[in-house]
Amino acid sequence: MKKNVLKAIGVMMSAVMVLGCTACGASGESATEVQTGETAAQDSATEEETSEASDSAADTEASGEKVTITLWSQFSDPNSTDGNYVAFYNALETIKTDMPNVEVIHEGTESESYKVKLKTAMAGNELPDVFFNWGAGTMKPYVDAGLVLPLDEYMTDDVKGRILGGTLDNFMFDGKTYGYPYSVAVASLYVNTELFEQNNVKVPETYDELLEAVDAFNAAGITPISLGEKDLWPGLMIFGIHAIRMAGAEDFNAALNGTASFDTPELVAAATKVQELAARGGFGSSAMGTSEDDAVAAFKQGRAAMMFMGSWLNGDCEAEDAVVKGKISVIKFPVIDGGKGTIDEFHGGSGETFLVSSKTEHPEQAAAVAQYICEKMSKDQYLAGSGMPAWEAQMGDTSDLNRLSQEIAGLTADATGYVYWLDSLTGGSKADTIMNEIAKLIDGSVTPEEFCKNLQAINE
Amino acid sequence: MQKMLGNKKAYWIFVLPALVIYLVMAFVPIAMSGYYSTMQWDGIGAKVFIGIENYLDLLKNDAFLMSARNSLILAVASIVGQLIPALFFALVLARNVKGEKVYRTIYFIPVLLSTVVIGQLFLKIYNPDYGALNAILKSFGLQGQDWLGDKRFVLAASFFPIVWQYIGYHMLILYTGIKSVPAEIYEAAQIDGANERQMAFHVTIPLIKSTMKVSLTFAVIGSLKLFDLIWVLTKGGPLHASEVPSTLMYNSIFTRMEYGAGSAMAIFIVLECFVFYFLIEKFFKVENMTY
Repeated sequence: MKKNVLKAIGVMMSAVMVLGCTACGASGESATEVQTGETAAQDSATEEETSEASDSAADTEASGEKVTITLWSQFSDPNSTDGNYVAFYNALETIKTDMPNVEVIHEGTESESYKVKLKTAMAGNELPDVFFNWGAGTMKPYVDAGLVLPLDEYMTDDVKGRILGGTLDNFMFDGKTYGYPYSVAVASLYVNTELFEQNNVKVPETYDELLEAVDAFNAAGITPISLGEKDLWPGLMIFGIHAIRMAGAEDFNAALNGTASFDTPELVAAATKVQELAARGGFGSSAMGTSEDDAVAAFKQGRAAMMFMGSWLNGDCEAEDAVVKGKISVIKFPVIDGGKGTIDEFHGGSGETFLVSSKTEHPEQAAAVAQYICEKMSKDQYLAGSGMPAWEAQMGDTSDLNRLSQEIAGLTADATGYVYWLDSLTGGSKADTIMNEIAKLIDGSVTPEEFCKNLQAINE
Repeated sequence: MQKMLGNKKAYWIFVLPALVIYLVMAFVPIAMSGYYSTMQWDGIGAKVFIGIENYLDLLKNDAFLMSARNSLILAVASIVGQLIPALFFALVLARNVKGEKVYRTIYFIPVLLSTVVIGQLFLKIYNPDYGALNAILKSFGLQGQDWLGDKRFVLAASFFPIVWQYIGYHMLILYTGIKSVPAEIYEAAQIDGANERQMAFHVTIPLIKSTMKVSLTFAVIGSLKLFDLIWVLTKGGPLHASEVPSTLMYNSIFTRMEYGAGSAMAIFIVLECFVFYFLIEKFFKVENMTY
């Protein structure tokens, strides 16, 4: 009997050892984050002690103690020339002096990996205090799951007054606001004026002229419109603008929100136009196998005549290493005959933001950090030639401003309607289905009628 | 010793640590996936139990059927394209040819390279604008193609580097197998007047059957659960033409946020691997032999 007891103890001891081993293994995996994790843990420990006595936030601030805020973003490269990156790292630098009570620990991850990392963190309940995210449909599951903090409490009338109208729409759910805007990105048609002149082609003002230009460039062996359809999302913009021109921004938004049908004559016509454009060689011969990076490179090197893309392309076009520097012009995508949309309806809008985790230990400071970064970025990303600003600000001397940004500011001055990026707007499986259907449309393996029915299927 | 092996409890105490690690690391995740696969779940919000609906949806999912088909094609391509050249190289190298070590190393280099490196390399080779393949074709007056963007070519184009990369790996496995065949057997064969070809087919190959089975298992299972090279080259596109089950699973979970459906695909991959493993075991019976 006694022997059996000893053996049982032996078994338990070995089990404990094993569990110990596996526990080590698990923590080893996240070795890179150990440092931040530990500081966060210490933080929360001290926080718990103090919060029992009094309201912590005000207290720590008064005593001059630093509060640590963890921040995740998709801005992974401090040396990038992308306007948003430049603006973000500016803000990260100035926050040190402007908000001395807060220490921000930033962790940047490249866009695609970032999305995966964020979802994993959410499932594991390990969200940082503040994190970058896209709005609308992409954000909705997080809001529904109660993972993000509504910011209305911190959004005073004074703050709201400085935010430009319409820029909060994609961050609002059930009347609550979850994020501050920092840019309004707009897609327009980038044209290489040098190539147009050399080949005696008129810069298109009507859709028919666009088709003529396509034919002329194809005859000259130049890719008419550079499109990186391998990454799927660039195709969304092509279909998006055709749908805006055919159905009008209001009706198209209604279809995307699920309040109206996709299966309308206007959207079938838009799909037909896209398919005809592709069949005509509008995107060259290898759009399906071209990545967005390659498509941008082709345009930058003057191997493609046009590109329909968001305003983040401005920086690339005016970069020092761009062959096309100074030769690019931006125009409004031409209206299509018979379409309900006008020339002043645009594809794009405000939809990128920083959210605050609902589990944060320091909601007040975290919200302040999110607000600071967004407001600072709004101005700096505009000056760096990315999107339009989302906050009112004195821009100061704008003579150095990216030429294309100024042109786009002129184009959008009379904007009457916007449709936001289709993938961010719909999110998750809806976005993936739309992307794949558009790829099929461009490839020619679905008819425009089937295409609209397939899109409508996701609304039902 | 005999006494200790007879003691069942001692047996368990010594087996337990490894067993627990194995269960926690391998079986628990699979069981969890099995559990998730019965749920409708976006990975964040509430789970809704839907039974085997996710599995039924898989059968109606064109992209999934395409991916399953592709993985079987790849398994066949691997057997033909990897094992046969690997066996040939191994047979030749093991005959003490000049520069044996150098060749062995050269053939093994692709295995040492990271898959991402190989993927990037082939992305450049296949590039429709400046790729080496199209440049060569054009110099012969042939038309270049969009190798990774065209549904007709993408499968062959993306499977080629996968098959190519692991030839050296299987060569090394088979080579070691051949090297462990005692020299006396060859001497005996030589005395009987066998030539090199006869020795290869009647002596070496029958004697390394068990090593060949290992290679075959690795080649088939490796094809069924392949992810990395496809992800780097095409991400399963265009229009799912080069999709394999793992890439579709990743896409379901992280892009579409359909955790349940993705878990069902994961379970499918596990079962598929098991089935093929047992099939190989059954049809490739090898008696334990000693030389």
